Amino acid sequence: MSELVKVIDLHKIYKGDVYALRGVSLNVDRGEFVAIVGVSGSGKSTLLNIIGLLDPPTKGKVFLDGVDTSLITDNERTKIRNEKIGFVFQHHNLLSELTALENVIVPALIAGREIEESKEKAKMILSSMGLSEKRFLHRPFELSGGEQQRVAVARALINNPLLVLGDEPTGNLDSKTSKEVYDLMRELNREKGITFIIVTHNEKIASRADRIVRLADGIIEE
Amino acid sequence: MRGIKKFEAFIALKHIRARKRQTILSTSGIALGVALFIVIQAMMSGFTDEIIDLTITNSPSVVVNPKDGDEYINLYKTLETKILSDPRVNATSPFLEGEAILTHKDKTKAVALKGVYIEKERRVFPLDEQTKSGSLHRIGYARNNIVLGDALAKHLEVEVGDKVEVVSVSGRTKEFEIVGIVDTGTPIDESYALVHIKTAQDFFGVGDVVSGIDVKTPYIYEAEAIAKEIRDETGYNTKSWIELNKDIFEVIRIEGTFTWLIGIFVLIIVAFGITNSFIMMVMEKTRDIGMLKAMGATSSQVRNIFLMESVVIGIVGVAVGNVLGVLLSLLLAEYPIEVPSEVYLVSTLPISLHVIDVVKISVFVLLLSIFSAVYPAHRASKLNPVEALKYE
Repeated sequence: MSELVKVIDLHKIYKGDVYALRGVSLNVDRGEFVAIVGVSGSGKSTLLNIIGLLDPPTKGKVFLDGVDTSLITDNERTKIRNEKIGFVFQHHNLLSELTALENVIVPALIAGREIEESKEKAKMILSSMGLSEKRFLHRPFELSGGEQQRVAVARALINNPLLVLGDEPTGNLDSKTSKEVYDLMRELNREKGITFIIVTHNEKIASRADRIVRLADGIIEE
Repeated sequence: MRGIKKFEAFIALKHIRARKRQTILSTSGIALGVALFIVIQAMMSGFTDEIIDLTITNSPSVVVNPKDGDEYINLYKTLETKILSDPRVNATSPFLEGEAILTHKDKTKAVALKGVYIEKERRVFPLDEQTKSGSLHRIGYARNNIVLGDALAKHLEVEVGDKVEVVSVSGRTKEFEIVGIVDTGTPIDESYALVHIKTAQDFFGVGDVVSGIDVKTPYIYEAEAIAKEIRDETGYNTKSWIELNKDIFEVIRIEGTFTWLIGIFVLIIVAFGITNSFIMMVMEKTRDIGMLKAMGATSSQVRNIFLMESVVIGIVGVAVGNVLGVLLSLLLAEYPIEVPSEVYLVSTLPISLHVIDVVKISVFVLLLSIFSAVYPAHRASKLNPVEALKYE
């Protein structure tokens, strides 16, 4: 398996000398399912945001699909986020004025694809995730927590990303739904070969990942 | 086609539909501002057109006055012939004017008593159309006949056939019979007293002289040139209708400026409302903006979403405002508002809708509406996605 993400000596210092990461190095192979665990404030989300090119590191480098992301422009990083990365957050962050189907097609529209063509693809993805067709036209507040998170996962997949980053993706769900959503992501990882990096504090979920990375005080515990 | 900006338009339209109350409020604000501006401007244009029309009708194109240091023009007939030799001039009317006091019973009024050849005066001023009662010609029939302005007659409580006593500055008193009443529709009526020129010359005790010559040309915008030529060629003082009514035009100009300032002020208040509404929306949508950026929306795409919303709100508001403003103006033209003519010179509020004014107002408001979203849109585009996603 070839390397998809390569993180070298990552440091992140926030204002007021708050050290979030103190030299993290990490490699993630294509098709891997990695869980990052650690207590609150250990730097998990910061590491995920930097890998997702949402936040620049203070020091260190992130290589994504062979590209040194420190050497490219903001717009190029934005394009990579759109084309190669999918995000799933704890709060689903679905746009409230859009239906489930419309929410899923947003990344495709950002990429400049046609609305109708994107909707067809979105319907297929949503159906494959077990969301009944009659829910497609419901707005987020009309969906259950599990359904909302399935829509969020579908949205992360619409542009066929190489990497899906999940920041506590099941954190807001009950244990049953949490397991269902996790199983769904694991299935996508196995069947489609999509790489997942999931931040979680749920040890039970983390234990089912290919690899667990433990962070404490901004460094990886061996 | 990226040029159409499908993504931005898609989100912008969804925002507009989802925020119905704010959209309706913003659009209504623009529509009402535009409609108000159009109606005020139509009233102002109508008023200006009417005043210019009244001024041109009731003013000589040029008035020729005595040379500096002289009180009268002596050889006025020769001067008249010379002025009439200009093909642009179609009429002249020499006059002798002097101050006098008119009395009827216990009512008195100071006037400028004007002596004219009525046939000539009729060619310079539309007196026939303005004659309310009696006959102007009769001032030539007897040396004690007089024509009064409508407002003056009302003040003195007289009508055709009544007699008035006229006293000159030198103390000479003479009784006149009213033979006609004229309504010019202007403040001139308040002190308008017309007699035959010979009557005036006798009354003021002067020979065959005049105090001025009124000149009429159909080429009203040539009047200044004609006045200058007469002055240069004869040495007599001259004034064009523009100079004669300088104060009125200055007032109109200032009123026009104020109309625009009031309109602009109203619309700037509306624009502040829109800016505020957009700022609120950016705050409400902070997490959404963070998510859009995480999904790969660029800063300019985020900015365009909000600018597009302002364009849509602006276009709809301006369109509705145009329809409302034009309909209201047409309604006011059909059912005019009555105003006191002694204050406004006109008895009803005239309406004159100029397409160029509607276009100017529409373009201005559309730009203002886009401008009002520039700051909130810029703020949205600069949001840091990580911080935006944490926003509670």
